[in-house]
Amino acid sequence: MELYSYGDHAAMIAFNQPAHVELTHLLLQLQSYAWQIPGVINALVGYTTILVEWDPVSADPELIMKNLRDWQSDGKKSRSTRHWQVPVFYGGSDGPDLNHVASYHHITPREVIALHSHRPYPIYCLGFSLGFAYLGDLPAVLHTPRRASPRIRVPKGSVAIGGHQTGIYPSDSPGGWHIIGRTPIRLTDPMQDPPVSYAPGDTIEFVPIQRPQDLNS
Amino acid sequence: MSDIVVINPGMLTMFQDVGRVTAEQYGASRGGALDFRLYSLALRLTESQTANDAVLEIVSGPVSLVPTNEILVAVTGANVRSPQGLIPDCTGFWAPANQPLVISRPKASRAYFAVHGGFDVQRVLGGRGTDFRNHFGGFLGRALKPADRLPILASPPPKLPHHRWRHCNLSESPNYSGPLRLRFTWHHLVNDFLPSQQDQLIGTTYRIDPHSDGMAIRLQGPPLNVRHGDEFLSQPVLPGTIQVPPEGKPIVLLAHRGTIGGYPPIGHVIIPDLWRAAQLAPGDSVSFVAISLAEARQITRLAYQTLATAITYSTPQGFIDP
Repeated sequence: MELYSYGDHAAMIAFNQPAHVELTHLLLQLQSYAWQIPGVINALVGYTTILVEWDPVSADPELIMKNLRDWQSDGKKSRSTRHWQVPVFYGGSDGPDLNHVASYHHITPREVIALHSHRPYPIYCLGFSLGFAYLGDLPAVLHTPRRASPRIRVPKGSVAIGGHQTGIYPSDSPGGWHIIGRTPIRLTDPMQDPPVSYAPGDTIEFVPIQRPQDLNS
Repeated sequence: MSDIVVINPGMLTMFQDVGRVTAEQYGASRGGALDFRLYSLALRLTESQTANDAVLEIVSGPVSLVPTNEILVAVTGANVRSPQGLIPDCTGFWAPANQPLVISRPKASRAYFAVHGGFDVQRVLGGRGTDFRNHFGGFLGRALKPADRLPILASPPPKLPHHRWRHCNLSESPNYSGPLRLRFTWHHLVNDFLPSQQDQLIGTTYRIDPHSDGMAIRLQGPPLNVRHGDEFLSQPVLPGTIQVPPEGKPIVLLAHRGTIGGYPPIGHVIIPDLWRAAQLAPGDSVSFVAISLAEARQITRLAYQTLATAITYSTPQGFIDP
């Protein structure tokens, strides 16, 4: 664990190891700890780093840095983690890039769906937009380079693959990942506290569902 | 009940406040007024009790507004034309009922309009500002449109007597001629960049790219030939972080950035210089000045303290011709 100043009112703690779920739980413990230090106003978790920000006027940077340096993991999870099943309409107009991902890997769209669904993806961190989860452990056979030019508008709920990552766009936004499906469920609600049900350390599983019109055929 | 009716919202006018830093753990960005200095002055000139009122951030004028009742308002960063005459930048004044206030184009890039008591827009995730990426906060999560009615919170009457104006001892407009010097501290992994690249960052005068917005200031200039591959793992970033993307043109992140960034940072602009940077327009020039961490912390603390202790005083109204 290494601690660095980060600009005029923050510090970054970096763990020199690959991203993995145990490290995420360590970062979450450290996040809870950081929130308790007087003067700290924000603590953001990344894959292998945490950024701690303090009040630039009233906080004592040296004292906060000392507190962070003195932190010791108690080995306990900061909270219990949950597993979320997210229903997905794969392909068709909901997943316009499913065929591209399949042909890129010389497999069928059906195989992409089978490989992508029914497996637990750990949430490493939230960022980019409200509720956007950076998920890990996408099978290597599905790693697909990002689109050459990003879409101006990726519809809300889109499930996508970008490089070695997969994720869900919780709101309409620009995006450069390949869209392979869409979930009909609402992922965020800014009027609720918390506005996002899932959190880093949880796992997400994609569950293929049938469109109503497909059930009749 | 007192409202402000929007006649002409200009190209882009939206609510902002100090931002919602606690929402960042959920992936939203803090947002908030980009020029915190002019935002704070607007609150002082309207005798704000909260230091976190929602105000209008005006990116392009003219903007035309009509109060339904006589009310104390202030504009910072632009002049105002009322039926009585011209009101100079950074003035708190009584706006008469049912008469249009025309806020001119901002002198730099952003101007602020505050009302005594603050606007009555809903607090979402701890803030009243507009999150235009996630479409919530402010007025229905969007920029203002003609005929919007903006409600004002009820509050005790202000101290400023009618027929007087309020000014602020910090209200002189900053000078934006010549390259704006952005003071910064190096990132701890700056040695991932070659010494020649570090020298290039501080020796170059950059121009503001037209694609800059509230998320980031993009810079035009000779590219830094960065050697990092695509192995960089995304990590949390703050407003002020200077990132270097593969094409080598530095980006300075602002308050509406995504909370996680995928490009290597090279440095961090100090907070008060970000307030100035928010007033840059496409084509303006900037340069970077490296300072020590101790200096950075001291300058930033002092900048906030100076704002917090800004003195206001009143003078008789002094319209310049009708």
